[in-house]
Amino acid sequence: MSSNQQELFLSVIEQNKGIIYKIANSFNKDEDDKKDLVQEIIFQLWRSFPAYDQRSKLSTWMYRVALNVAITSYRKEKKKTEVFIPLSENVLSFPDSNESNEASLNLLQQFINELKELDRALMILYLEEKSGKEMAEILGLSEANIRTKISRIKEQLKKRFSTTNQ
Amino acid sequence: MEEFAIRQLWHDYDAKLEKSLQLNYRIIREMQTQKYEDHIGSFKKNQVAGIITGILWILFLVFLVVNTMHNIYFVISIGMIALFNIFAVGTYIRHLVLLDQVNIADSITGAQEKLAAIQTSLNNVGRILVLQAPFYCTFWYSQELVNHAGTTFWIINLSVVTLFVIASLYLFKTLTFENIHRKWVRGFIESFGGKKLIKAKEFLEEIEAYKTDGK
Repeated sequence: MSSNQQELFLSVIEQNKGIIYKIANSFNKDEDDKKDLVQEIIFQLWRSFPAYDQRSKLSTWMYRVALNVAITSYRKEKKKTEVFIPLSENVLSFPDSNESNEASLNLLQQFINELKELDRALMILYLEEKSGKEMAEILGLSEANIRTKISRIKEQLKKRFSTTNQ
Repeated sequence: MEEFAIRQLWHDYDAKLEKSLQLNYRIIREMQTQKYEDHIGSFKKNQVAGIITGILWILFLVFLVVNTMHNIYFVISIGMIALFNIFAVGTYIRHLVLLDQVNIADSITGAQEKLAAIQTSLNNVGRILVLQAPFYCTFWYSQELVNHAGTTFWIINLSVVTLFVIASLYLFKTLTFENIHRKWVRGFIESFGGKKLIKAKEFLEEIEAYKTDGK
């Protein structure tokens, strides 16, 4: 990777650090696992960055890599992987857990965490306000399929919030 | 809570993260230069370990065959065992090639489907290797034994071999994912380290259903 590309990569990560954190947070509850996943996502993004051919939007590419890594690592049996980066330092410093103290946000996060992996990915994309076309591209599904699934998830979400608010 | 409120909640969360998350550029730069062991690479590592072990085992078997050419029963039995293992190593090498073709930037269902399909096909290696079992009952035969062993010996011996042939053929035919609903098949595959394969197969089916559902 040339130094220009490296700088570009860093700025892409800087602009999308929130996405990386939210994906890691949605696929891992354990703080250490979350940190590992963030490292893993950034590492895989860096590895596939030179192959990014601009045929799809940068955000589409980024969500694909990040969600693929999150799902793959989620499906692995819990096993500590050796990372060569000292654990005392994190690639992304996380906000205090108090940040997400708001009951509604916790409830939303809990709802996301309970979904199956593919629905979880879809839910994140929906909350990120991605268009049906982009969601379809990221997930590899038809737009009609996306619409059906989104309306189903929205129903579940509505139910969850209404039963809790009662 | 309405849809708009939920989206707003997520939006606020996003804004809060934007402010509070700090990227450690030094660590990212180190990650770019240092050796880093990743989750995706660990599956590949297992495959490479399997290939190296398999090749060493095959070389050992070939060495035995070459040095025991005078005993046709030994040569055939060990030769067949070697062939089964060559098949297994070949499959592992094929998996490595397929793994290299998996693009992590591919669509989620596409990439996950390929990864799960590679994992599940490992079950076929186990099934094929079961077929080598009867040859472990015959490699110690010799011309002298064939010429001089009595009828009782052969009745007992060939019964054992036949039993192994039937059992291995039965296992080969039955230990498939189509029969995973049978408790003992599931238990058998799981007890031989196939838990991951079963999970991969279930995920594969889930992806298939996900793709067709709502079409």
